[in-house]
Amino acid sequence: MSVRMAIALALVVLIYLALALVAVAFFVASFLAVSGWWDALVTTMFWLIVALGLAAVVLQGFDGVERSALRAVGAKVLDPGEQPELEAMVARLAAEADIPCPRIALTRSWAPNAFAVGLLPPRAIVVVTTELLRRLDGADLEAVVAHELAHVVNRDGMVMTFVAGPTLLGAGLWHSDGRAKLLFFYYFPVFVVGSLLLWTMSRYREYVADRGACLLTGRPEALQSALLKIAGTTPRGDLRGGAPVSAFCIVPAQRRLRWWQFFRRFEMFMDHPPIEQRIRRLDAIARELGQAER
Amino acid sequence: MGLGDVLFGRKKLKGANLDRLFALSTAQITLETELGLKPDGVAAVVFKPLSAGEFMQAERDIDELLGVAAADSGSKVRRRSDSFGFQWIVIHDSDFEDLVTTTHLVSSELQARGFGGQLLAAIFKFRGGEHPVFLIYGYKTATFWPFVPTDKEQERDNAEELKLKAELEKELPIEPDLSRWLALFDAPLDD
Repeated sequence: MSVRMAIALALVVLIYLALALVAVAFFVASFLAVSGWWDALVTTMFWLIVALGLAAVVLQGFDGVERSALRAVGAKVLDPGEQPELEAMVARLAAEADIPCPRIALTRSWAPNAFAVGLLPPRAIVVVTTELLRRLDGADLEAVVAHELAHVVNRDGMVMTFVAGPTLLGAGLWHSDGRAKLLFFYYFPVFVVGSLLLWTMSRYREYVADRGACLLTGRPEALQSALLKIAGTTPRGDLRGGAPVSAFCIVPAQRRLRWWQFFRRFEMFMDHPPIEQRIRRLDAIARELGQAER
Repeated sequence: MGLGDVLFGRKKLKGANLDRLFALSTAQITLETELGLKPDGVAAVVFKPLSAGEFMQAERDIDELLGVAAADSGSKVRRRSDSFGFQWIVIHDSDFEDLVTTTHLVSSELQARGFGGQLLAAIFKFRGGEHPVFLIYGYKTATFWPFVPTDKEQERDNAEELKLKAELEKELPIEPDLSRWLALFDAPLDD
């Protein structure tokens, strides 16, 4: 499993390198028209470094990503004291997981679901839907929250944003117009490969977060029961604010598949593993925890 | 947190670090004379046992451990649980140094029995001014922080806590990140 993941990650890095190479070649070529070869290369490198620096500054200090994700699903960050039990639960799990206590946000929805946003643990926000709180309590709710905290522990916000890059670029090109849209057709093969890698990574991170949740709560059976309760209905409403958010939900933000999306019924094209598969893996984890090295 | 953990996900809970627990016995004199914090003779180790599979075995382990701790130290040791599913090993001892030693003993016994990753915190009760003052030791961070619950439900006196932080910093390793100052309301310390 880890080996497959390392290969997937390496491929994503390769895509980035290839894109960077194409960009550099493009700029060098365009500067070459007005100046010498050496000047063109230096100018390109200069702008490349400026762009990377800007990106780093934005990633460090700008929490617009988190805020826009919350806005996309209409979630509101809770003030202390609004949900004392949930807050205490999150605080204890965070202490166990050794991360700063994340903020909690609530969103009105008919779908029982939860996800975590935030590029880095200190900025993490755990979002739960009203329906999740209504349908789950005690150990079940704790298991779902622990799953989300496991995503935070594993820096999934950062890793998955990185992995989603090629797919997001493709979506950006498709939704633009003029010459940029034409570029999409050249980019299409990369878009397909990038999306497959994104879904593969996402499924793997779900399994890992399931395992992390069991370590935190010590109760694989609680997560199993929570998953079954959540999957019991087809949620209405749309919880996904773009692919990166869906990748962090406890269960996929379901929407009806259109006819041309038939292929997403195959596991290879899913961003979450099928529930039955997760339950089976949790059985294995339960057996493993049962024989901890004592 | 290594690179491998980021790339492939963390596979284990972070273990417990007991090293700085004893800092409390050294600091006790200052706590009492300068801050007026008198030990209340009670402390507890908070942890979460695994429920999966081996719960019975874990129960037996813990009971055996209570016997060992009580015999070794002369402290009164008993077990409680709370609504979050956490186990509390509550230790009574009027001598503060013995109290810290027994707390350390219980923690290290739990660690030796494979509960290291599940150890959450140790909590010590003091008689302070208006409200009782608790000092909490986080096993993951190996730091202390003050916790002052008020009479109102689920409320803590942040002003008092921050004041204590400023004064305690010289004596104890205090957790600098306030978002890790876990509250432990309704601690089942008394009988």
